[in-house]
Amino acid sequence: MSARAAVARTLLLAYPSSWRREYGAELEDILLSRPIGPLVAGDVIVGGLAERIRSADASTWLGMAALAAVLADLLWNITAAQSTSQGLMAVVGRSSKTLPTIVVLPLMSDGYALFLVIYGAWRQIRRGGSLSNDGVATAKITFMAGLPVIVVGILIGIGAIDLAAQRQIDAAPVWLTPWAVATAPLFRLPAAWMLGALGGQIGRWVGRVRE
Amino acid sequence: MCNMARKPANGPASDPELLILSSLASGPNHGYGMMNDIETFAEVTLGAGTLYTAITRLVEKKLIAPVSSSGRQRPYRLTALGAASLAEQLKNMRRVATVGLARLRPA
Repeated sequence: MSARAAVARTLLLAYPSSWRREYGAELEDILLSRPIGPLVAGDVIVGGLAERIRSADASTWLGMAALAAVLADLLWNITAAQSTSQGLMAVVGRSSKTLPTIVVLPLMSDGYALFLVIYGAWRQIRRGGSLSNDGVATAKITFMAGLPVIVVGILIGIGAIDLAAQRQIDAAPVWLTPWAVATAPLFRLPAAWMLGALGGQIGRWVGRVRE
Repeated sequence: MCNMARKPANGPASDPELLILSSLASGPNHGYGMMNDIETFAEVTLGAGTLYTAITRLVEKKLIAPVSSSGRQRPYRLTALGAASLAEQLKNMRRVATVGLARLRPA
């Protein structure tokens, strides 16, 4: 594959996969027929992102909202005054289980679990399909919500964030390892899937009652 | 002079959807052919991303439709709805242009 073909294929990744299946080959041929400068590349990337936003489903929007909420919580607690903030510990806490050793607190709340069940039910009533699809949608929301924590874990791992320098932590607890922080949200995915599927089942019952 | 258009910076005449409809008014054509045609008749260079964003919208609105083809470059044709929409838009533009030009004419 030539360098230009590789660039064209990479640019096409800006578009959703469903769009690429429909129009990808045509757009790739056009990109290969002309020089790919910054303007052309920017135009394709903007078009791809616009298409992603336009075709995003409710779970993507909810995932982005959850991501923004966790990120805001994290940033507030890291940057706010010492008397009112808890630093990273506002978002992660020690688990009572062997694995995972850390939990992401916003994802563990009863309110969040209820939200996933309600979303699963709503999705099932609105779109039908398998319960697994409802579970995948709620797992996707949870994954997106956990992304800021994963990034923080990676940043701790590469030394970009020094936990001991955080005003609220005299010394990083032994259980607060970068690996544990980065993987903590992933351990929540099976539960999120189950809550979504449970919501989906409730949605089916509601649908039958309404019929 | 050619302008690379995403938004119609030069007014409604450089709107990508209108340009595509106008290009397809002469017969089915594929994306690359439309780009060249639009460059020739409107002196506007549509970016590939802009072109396919507009093509996607027009297909969804059923103003254009793909023609079955064995090649990777699939041609598109103007639908009856697309032809009516194009005629309506051009009539409106002509009305505005006529009035504007008349008012610009020195008394």
